[in-house]
Formats: sequence, structure tokens, C-alpha cells
Amino acid sequence: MPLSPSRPAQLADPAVAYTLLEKLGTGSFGTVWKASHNETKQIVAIKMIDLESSDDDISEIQAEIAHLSSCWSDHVTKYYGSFVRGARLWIVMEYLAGGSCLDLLKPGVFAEAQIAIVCRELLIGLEYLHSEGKIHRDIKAANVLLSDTGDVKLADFGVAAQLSSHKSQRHTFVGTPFWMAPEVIRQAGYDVRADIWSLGITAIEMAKGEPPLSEYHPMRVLFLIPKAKAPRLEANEGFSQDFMDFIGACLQKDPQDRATAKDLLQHRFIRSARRTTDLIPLINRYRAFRARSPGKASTPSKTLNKLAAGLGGLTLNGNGTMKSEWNFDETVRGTMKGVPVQLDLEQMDEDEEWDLQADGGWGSVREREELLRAATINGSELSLPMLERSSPNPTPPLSSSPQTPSSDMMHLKSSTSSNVSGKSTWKERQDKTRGTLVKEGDLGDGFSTVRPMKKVDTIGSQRLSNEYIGTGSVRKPPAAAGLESPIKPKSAFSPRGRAGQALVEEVVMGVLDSTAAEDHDALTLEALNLLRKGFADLGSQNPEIAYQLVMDILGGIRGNDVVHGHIRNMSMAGVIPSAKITTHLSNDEGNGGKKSTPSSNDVRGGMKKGIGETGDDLIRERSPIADLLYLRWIDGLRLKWPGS
Amino acid sequence: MNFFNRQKTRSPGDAVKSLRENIVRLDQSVAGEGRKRINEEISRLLASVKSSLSGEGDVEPSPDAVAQIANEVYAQDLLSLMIIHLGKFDFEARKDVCHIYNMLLRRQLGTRSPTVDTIATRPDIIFNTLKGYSNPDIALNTGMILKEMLRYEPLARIMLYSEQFYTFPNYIENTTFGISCDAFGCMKETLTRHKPMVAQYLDANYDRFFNMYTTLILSANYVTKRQSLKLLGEILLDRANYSIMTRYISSEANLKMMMNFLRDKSRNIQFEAFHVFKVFVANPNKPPQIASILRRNKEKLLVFLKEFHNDKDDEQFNDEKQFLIAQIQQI
Repeated sequence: MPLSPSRPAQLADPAVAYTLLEKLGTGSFGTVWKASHNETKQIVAIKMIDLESSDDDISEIQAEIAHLSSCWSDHVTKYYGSFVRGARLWIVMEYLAGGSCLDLLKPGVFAEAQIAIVCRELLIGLEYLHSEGKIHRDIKAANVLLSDTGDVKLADFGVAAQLSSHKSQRHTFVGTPFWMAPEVIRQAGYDVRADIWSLGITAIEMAKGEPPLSEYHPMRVLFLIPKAKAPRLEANEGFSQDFMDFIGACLQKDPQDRATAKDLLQHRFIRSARRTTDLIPLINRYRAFRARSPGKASTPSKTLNKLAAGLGGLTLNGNGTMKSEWNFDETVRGTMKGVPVQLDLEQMDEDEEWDLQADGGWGSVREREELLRAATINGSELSLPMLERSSPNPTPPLSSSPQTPSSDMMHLKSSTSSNVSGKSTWKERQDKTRGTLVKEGDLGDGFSTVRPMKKVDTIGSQRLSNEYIGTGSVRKPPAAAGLESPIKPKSAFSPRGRAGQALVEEVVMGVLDSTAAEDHDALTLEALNLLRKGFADLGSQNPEIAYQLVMDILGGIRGNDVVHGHIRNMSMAGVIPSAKITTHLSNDEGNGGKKSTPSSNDVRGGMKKGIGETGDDLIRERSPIADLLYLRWIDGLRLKWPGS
Repeated sequence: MNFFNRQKTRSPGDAVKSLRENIVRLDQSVAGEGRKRINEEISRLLASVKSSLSGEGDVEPSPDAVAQIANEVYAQDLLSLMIIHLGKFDFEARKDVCHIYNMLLRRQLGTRSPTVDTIATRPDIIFNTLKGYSNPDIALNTGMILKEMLRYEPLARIMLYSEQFYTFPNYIENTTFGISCDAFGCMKETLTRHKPMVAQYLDANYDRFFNMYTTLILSANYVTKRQSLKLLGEILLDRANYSIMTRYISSEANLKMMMNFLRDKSRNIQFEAFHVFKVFVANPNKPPQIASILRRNKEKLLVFLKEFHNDKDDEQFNDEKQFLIAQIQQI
């Protein structure tokens, strides 16, 4: 490996000055600027993160720096240093003039020969990272940067992970939806091979301009990637056998079957790749494209450049908006303007003593102890206000209760009713005991990186995902809006209705489920899901029509000679299995799983009960902090009065 | 190079011996070609020691080789030498040292951790590792090793009870972001991992510790201030630290500090301060001086809290806020 790099440490010295030149991009993590180092005139990229606007733990952001600074490879963007000014973190990195592969895709897709070069360079970078036990976890065209001479480098280690040994695995749900490997979505435990899947998706992205499934809503992609067949390139789309084979080696659903970076470097498609300078035409093409359609050039504000030059902003200053001032300031306001609050506090201490006397103060030690005891007993009543919770979702403060299916439902309910499209908070994402629901807001448009979630509530998220069946890509106008059907409580049905219900729940759903369980590509699978949702909604909303519909179909079959004749031949040959449904149902019972519509009745029944319960005045929740303090208080008392 | 270097390394133990010889030679050499070659040799030896310890691909490391290496590392004093000379090693070699260190620390013989036992008799190794924070070239490498050491109570105890523990603020305040955060992380590890041990220490050294800690909370550096406030909340709300919490929340100076932070211009600082402030209010048995400050500011606090971070979509926070409002109303 290369010798010890002599890091240009002075580039990261907060005392030296930069001039910000232009904005290179804005991501969910901040803005990236092209900047010039005032002394050496070296051009660098500065990633600016507003620490105040993110609810992430600062130590997570630091992890990115730790990854970058432990990499020294020609295939990874170089890290020069970082510093904080005010609440902004500045990360100084190598500047790459060629732009990202996503930029370069704007004027058009890449040729196969160019894709091969980019893939080879990425594989060299990945081989290095993987040998160090690092997983990038966010490989996509947007995170692949080119220098102006065509060098290809991996960028953005914002969500990278370090494996502690070559056999350990990760479970965190992270990455960018369309590029995520099936095992990452399933939370089944994954390792460096997850990057290889994303590389395969990136190769398709470079060939077609968009990753596979991009026509679907990102919430659906979470379901489709693990369930559907792995995407492939088709020969009739004009791709070479080598390229299709390379994609096939990357996009294996079982990571065990997937090639490693080392293997792939020996692949024919990669070995045929030529020099990186062959990528320069892509850069020129993009420059010409940008010249034709000039965007708004973003230049830094004066204040920002003042910060860059190291003038001010090194500490928190400026006038914050203070809502009101506490009483300890009041007595001296006006006379000691601008003096640190500390001084004012002295003044208050005297007041305090006086107030204390007025209160009667403390008695003898004995009395005090009595008082303490009494206050504690009272306090235990008083300080534990019976706070009623608005949410039916209990959060036990000290012990985590085992999660029953019904609490799972309620959890889902509370989230769907109030916050389906919201984002999970940092705390929720770190919650290891309960698991987080992946919400629409977490996924964004599916093209930006998802913040890491320690444990995803897979079942809940899957249910939530079902609500997006038939919803198109976020980026395009919704293809089939209005598919949602709020299911209302139903009244008693006529015999025909009950038959319709049974028909849908036991026959149609069974057939659709067992059909969907087979191996399908995403398009087929999603079409089946649409049918399933349609029938499920119809069955519970208007089972009589459902009954009528199926009967009409049967009638239509009988009336159509071609179909009818075909069916008769088939069934005589024993091709149509009549037992399909029953085997499915018995399987279902065997698993104890409740997948089809009968469970939706249970769900609502359970929810109603749940709401009734929480509405009941007898069951009230304590504030977790009150509980916490109270229990600790009791502990403390036991220490003081062991006998009592 | 000379005849010696051409020799094939015969056993993993020999590699360790040879490593020591080369480190000593590196020390005596002057910059130039010679040193470069010694460095290459050190890098090669470290890589080979590392792969003997971790195994290669699907091949498990041989327990025999691991035992040989470990014993030789202890005997040749390499645990100390590798740390002291880390700054002179090549970039990749430094990372290999981290790996070797971590694997040795995790090594167990029955219930014993021989590497931990060895380092426990050599506090200077821990302190030299801490000192790595003053060298930006290796700070994150030594930081990683230090963090691994602190997982073990005997080593964390040595750190916590030492004078050197009080140099953490210096490393946190006077380094760039990445190193500062790493140093903070190690301080946090020392203060949170081995709870009963820490509680005992804080009880006995309450004043000294909180004098130091308050300087971090009052730091002019946004990151230091925010992180140390957050950690303060965690320390106080930890069950093991009950008596430390009661002491902390009976000090009016502490309450005033938190109330001022509630009005900090940074929303994150306000939020972290809230999580300390709530403990003062939730205390069912407030000392008179605390109750008095709250009483004097009752109306203002009520108005303030009703408008405090209303946009937060955080159930627990909102509950706690309502609880505080109810508590203050009763005062």
C-alpha cells in the first residue's frame, strides 16, 4: 500500500482563510462549496453542515470523518480536515472538477465501455474499503465523483459503517431506497456485499439514466426489492452479453451468491475496460450541456465568506432572541446592561436568603428529617400526576413489556393516523427495543439517502408500505391517485353479501396470495398486489358487488367459447389444480399467520377495544420521568433508612 | 537490505521479535532511505501479525499462533512500544496496530483477559495512548485504541482515577472537530460504561469533577457545549448516580445555569438544558432554595414552557413538558 501520506494539515487549520467560490450542491446533510485556500490557492471542496438544524447526534457526523480520515486511496475522495465555526461544521475535502456521475448522466446515458471503466474504478475503491471491513452503504451515481482527467472516486461516507471483524454483520436500515440491497431492507444482517448490489443498481442507472423500480413509490420499493426477482438488463434493449452477465453477478438476491469486489475485477466486462481518460468526453459533454442550459450560479453570501476568511463566527455570538428574562436578571436590568448573567445572580442570592427566612426556613435536623419523610410520602402522591395520554401507545418507562400483536397494531394505528408522511425523529431511529416505522418522510423521493435506523419495525413498515400500492413515483405526478379506500365499519350483510365476503376472503385472496408468493418480477408482483388490494377493499366495502363481479366473470367465461373450450381441455388434462386454495389455507393456519382479510376485522376490533381502554379513566399513564424519579427516590430512601 | 531482513519469518512469534528489533532501529535511524526501508519492514511485519491474529478469509486464526504472538507481545513490551512509536509508522501500519491492539484486548483465556491484566500493571500505556490526542496524525488511531481499552473496567478505573483524566477538556477544547469529538467520546465512555465504579468515583470527587465539567458546559465551542450538556443529562438520569443527581439538583447555581441555557439562542442547547432542568422540577422534595427560585419565576416559567418547542413531534418530550407545567403550577 502507499506510504504514509503527508497530509496537507494546514488546509484544515481553522486559522487559515478560504474564499468560497461557488455552491456545488445541496444535500440533506448540508451544502458543498468549491473554495480556494487563500495562501496556497489550492481548490478544495468544503462540505458545510449546520449542526443546529439536524437532530442527529453529533457523534454520528463525526463517524463520517473517522471513516474518511482512515482511508487513503486514489479511489476515495481525500479528506483534509474539519473544524467548527459557530454551529456550522466545515469539512475540507479534495475537489473533483468533473462532477458526479449523476451530473454526467443529465445530457444522456453512458456507453457500455464508459460504464465498464467507472465500474472498474469503483471496484478498486470497494476492494480497498471492503478489505478494511468498511461498508459504504450508499453507492449510487450521485456519490461517484470524477476529476477533470477522468479519475473516478467514491464520495460521501455519511452513512458508512465499520465491521469489527470480517465475519460480523450490520442490521441498520440505511442507504438510498432504490439502491438498497434486499438484505438491508429485510434487516437480515448484511456485510460488505450489500455494496456490490448497489454497484449493480448503479451500473443500470448509468445505462438507463434511472435505477430500476424508479417508477414506483419509494414506500413500495421497500416491499418490491426483497420480494421481486432481481432486476436484469435485456438483450433486446441492446446490451452486450458481458454487461448483462456482470449485472447478474452483482444483482443476486442472496448475498452468498453475489460476487465480491475481488471476483468482479476479474470479470470479462471489467477486464475489457480501457483507460479512465476515455471518460473525459462525458465531462465535456456535460460542460457543453450546462453551457446550453445555464442554471443559477450560486455564489456565497458576504457573511459566509467572512466566516470562511476566519473573521468571526469562531464561537457562538450574536444576539439570540430571548423570550423573557428570568427573575434573577430583573432586579438589575438597565443598570448592568450586557454584563454576563453570572453577576446578576449574586444579587439574587441575597433575595433568596430573605425569601427563605420568610418561608420559615429549616428547623432542627430531626424536624428536617421528619419533614423530608413527610414530603416524600406526600410527594409520591403529588409528584406523580396521573397524566392522561392522548396516544394509545404506552411507553413503559423502566421495563419494556413484550410486544403483543395488538400493541403492534395500536402502534401502527397511532402512527398512521397522525404521522404517516412524517419523518422519524432521531430518538425513534435509535430506539432498539421497539423498532421504527419507516415512514414516507424518511424515504423522501427515494433518491436521497435515508438516515440510519437502528431497528426497523418490519411488520409495521410493511403494512404502511401496503398503503402505497398503486402510488407512483414521488417525482412524477401520481399515476393512480384515489386508490385509497377508507374502510368504514360495515353493517350486517345479506346472505349474498356474506357469500361475497367468503368468496373474496377465502377464495380470491387465497389464489392471489399463493400466486404472489411465486417468483415474479416487480411489475407482475405489483399488478397482483393492486388486484389484491382492490378485491380486499371491495370485499369489505361492498361484498355483494364482489360476489356479482366474480359471478359475472364466471358467466363471461362460460359465454366465451375460446376460453371455455380451453379451460375444459386443461381441466381434463389435470392442469388446473383444484386444491390450490385449500393447501394455501392450511399453510396459513400452520404458520399461525393472519394475512388475508379476516384479520382486518380483527384489527379493527382490537383497535376499538384499545381505544375504549385508553379512554377509560381507570387506566391512566404516569409520566416516565415522574416514575423514574420516584423509583430512584425510593431507592435513595432505602439507603438512608434501611429499616423502613 | 542486509542478510537479516532476507530471512523468512519462521513463526508468528518471530515476527513479533523482529518487529521489536525494527522499532528499535527505527528509533536510532535518521530520516532518509534507510528509515523508509525499516518502515516498510515494520508495515510488512504488522500486516503479517494482524492476519495471523484475525485469520484470512474463512480460515480461523490458529489458537496456537495467537497465543504465541500474544505472549511475545507482552514479553517484548510491544504494547507500550507500538503506542509510543505509532506516529513514526506508515499510514496503513497505524491502522494495523489498532487492529492488533483490539484483537489482543478482546482475547480471553477462560475468564481472564491477559492483555487487560498486562496493561493494568502498566498505567503509562493508557496515558501514552491518551496523549495521542495531541498528535493530529495519529489522534484517531490512538483514540480507537483508547476506546477499546476503556471497555474494560480495570483500565477505565485507572483512567478515571488518574490526574490525566483531567486533561480531557484540553484535548476536547484545543483540537479540530474530528479529534475533539473522539476525545469527548472517550471521556463519555469513561463516565458511562462502568456505572457503579463511576458512581463511586463521582461521589467521592464530586466537587473536582463538576468544577471541570462545568467548564465544558460553559465552553464557547458550540459542539463541546451541546455534547457536554447532553451527557450531563444522561449522567444525572442514570439510576446508579442517584446520590450525585440529588446533590446536583440541590444547587441553585446549577439551576440558574440550566435556566439560562433554556434561553440559549441555540435550540439544541435549549433542548438539552430542558432535560437537565426537568430533573430540578420533577424532584418531589425540592430544597427550599430551589423551590424558591422556581416560585419566583413561576409565571414566567409557565409562559415560557407553554411556548417551548411546541413544534416538536416527540411524545415523550411533550408529556414531560406538560408534567413540568403541572408541577410548576403547584408550587
